Amino acid sequence: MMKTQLKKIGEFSVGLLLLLTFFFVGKGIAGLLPFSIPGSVIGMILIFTALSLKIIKLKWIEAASMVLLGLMGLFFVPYGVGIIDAWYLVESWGLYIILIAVLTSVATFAISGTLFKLLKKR
Amino acid sequence: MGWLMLVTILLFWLGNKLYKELPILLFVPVFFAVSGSILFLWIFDFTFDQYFKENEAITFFLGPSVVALGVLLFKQVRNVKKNLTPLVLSIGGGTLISVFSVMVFTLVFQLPDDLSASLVPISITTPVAIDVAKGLGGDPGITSVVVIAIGIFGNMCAPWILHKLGIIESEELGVGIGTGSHGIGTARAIRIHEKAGLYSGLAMAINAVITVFLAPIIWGLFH
Repeated sequence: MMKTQLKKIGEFSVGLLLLLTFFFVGKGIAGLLPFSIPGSVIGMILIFTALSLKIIKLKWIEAASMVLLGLMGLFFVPYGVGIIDAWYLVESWGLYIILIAVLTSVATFAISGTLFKLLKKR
Repeated sequence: MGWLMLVTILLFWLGNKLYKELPILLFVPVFFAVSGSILFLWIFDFTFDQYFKENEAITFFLGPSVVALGVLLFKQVRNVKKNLTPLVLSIGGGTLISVFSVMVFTLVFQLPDDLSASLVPISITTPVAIDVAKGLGGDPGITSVVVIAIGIFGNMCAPWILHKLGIIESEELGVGIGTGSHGIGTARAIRIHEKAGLYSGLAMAINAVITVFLAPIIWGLFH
């Protein structure tokens, strides 16, 4: 019992350490590029590549990744609270923002869904 | 790091508990924690800057969780190998429509530049949307709130809208929901069908990557 728990904690720590490493490497590369790409997305592409090329094993990072993804909502709460600093924009443009958001997302649902319906192989 | 961080964590935790008991809009954990924190700052007279600074240990993990999205992508891509090209093309089509739609509307309505930059990445997952908006000179506060709102809208309405358009099979439903309304929409797709959830999750991750590269280019075309 104790042993399996310790093993789980160990796996989680190794996984977290790997995710952090890929994140910081991604950030480092992003800083060197002449255009603006988030370092986290570079880290995401790198970890995907490393897994595909079998440089790292899925079981090393799976547990930690699922924990972070499950908590993602919590991580962006402070940014959401930032709306109070931008409230003046929402106040004068709120109706337009809602209109743009609704029309754009409906168009996006429709186009991507329809395209896949037509293109997918059965 | 400071104790205002505890406010965020406690509210998020409470939202989770309440939502499990009573799944209504008000208790959606992110929504509950954001509005609860705003109320807290307002009642106890804290500034947003102080709150944000004390919460930096939380927001730090956004980056690593985007990296974790790559792990999810790897796990799922193996299940859709034969349909990978159609998948990327369909999501890419959705990305193009999404970014162009925002640009055209902001031009027609003559929105200020910082506002339109905040809206360009509205169909992708919040942490990446925040980075894209910042890169274009937008306000991450507006971006995150609009993105979360769209997620909730997609969660509630996307399956119905897609049904009306004759899109009924799990795969294409998932692609539509995930491309348009990221993780919050995906949560609904999973409940429709496991396969819909798989495609929705893939669409969310792939759309984020495509938007990161496309958004600055399209933004440049309009300026």
